[in-house]
Amino acid sequence: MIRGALTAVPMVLALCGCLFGRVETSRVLTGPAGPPYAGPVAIVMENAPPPASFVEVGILQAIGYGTYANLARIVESLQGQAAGLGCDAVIRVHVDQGSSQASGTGICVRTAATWTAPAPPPPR
Amino acid sequence: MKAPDCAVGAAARRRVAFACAVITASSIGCSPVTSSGVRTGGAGLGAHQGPVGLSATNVPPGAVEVGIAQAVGIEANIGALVPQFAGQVAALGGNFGLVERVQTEFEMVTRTENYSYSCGTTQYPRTCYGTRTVTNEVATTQMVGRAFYVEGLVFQPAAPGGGGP
Repeated sequence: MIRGALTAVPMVLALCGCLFGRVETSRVLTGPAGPPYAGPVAIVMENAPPPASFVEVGILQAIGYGTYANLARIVESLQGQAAGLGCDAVIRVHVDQGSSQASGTGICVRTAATWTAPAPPPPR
Repeated sequence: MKAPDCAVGAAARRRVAFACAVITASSIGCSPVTSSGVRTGGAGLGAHQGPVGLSATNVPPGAVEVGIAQAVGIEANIGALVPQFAGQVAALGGNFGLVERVQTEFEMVTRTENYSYSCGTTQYPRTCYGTRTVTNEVATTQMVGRAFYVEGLVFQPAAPGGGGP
């Protein structure tokens, strides 16, 4: 019985997460998309200098609702979208935070080999 | 002189218009998007007929700025804003748009709504009605940039890339 309860609790929590939070994505292609990129996708905020050379692929948006209306979910979603379009960086990332919604936008780009993407954070 | 009771200030009118737009949008399930533009150059250019190229980072060589364009939508995503933005670029006589900023503002909007519920018994079913106040957070997203005309431009037209949850 205890084992059953232990199994049920994560399922209920996961269900609550789906019920009370979600992320909707939107994108507009402005350049050629490539095959999905499997490496780390760099995030470059809007006031940070972009890579020296890149190819623009599109404009991305992620809107988080409820428990997903936070910076982490928005950035994660932008990275996921970018990787799917073959991008290795999202530049000019801008996030607007509300109380129950958050919206993030960025430009999905493929960088030249001369630009090194920042190392991903160490695993926890 | 005392203003008539029905007169409202500009700010109040904007709020009323905003609330009406929100209520309309939520009741009919669409995202109202409006666009506007200001001409800053390209005198003599008529509205452009045909596709409009789009970028968020650069403009083609030889591009001449013809104006500033924006699209604004309530509960609208970039997929809904881009066609309006491109249309505004074309209306200014441009064939290429540079998206310079996309930003969202959030506002709490309170409105009253009517509702009904069953309040009778199985033998004597009845429907009761009430009014309640609902407060929702409403997102207004603005896409703003510049319109350019590029002579002899061969470009890839802006393509909506879709999206999903």
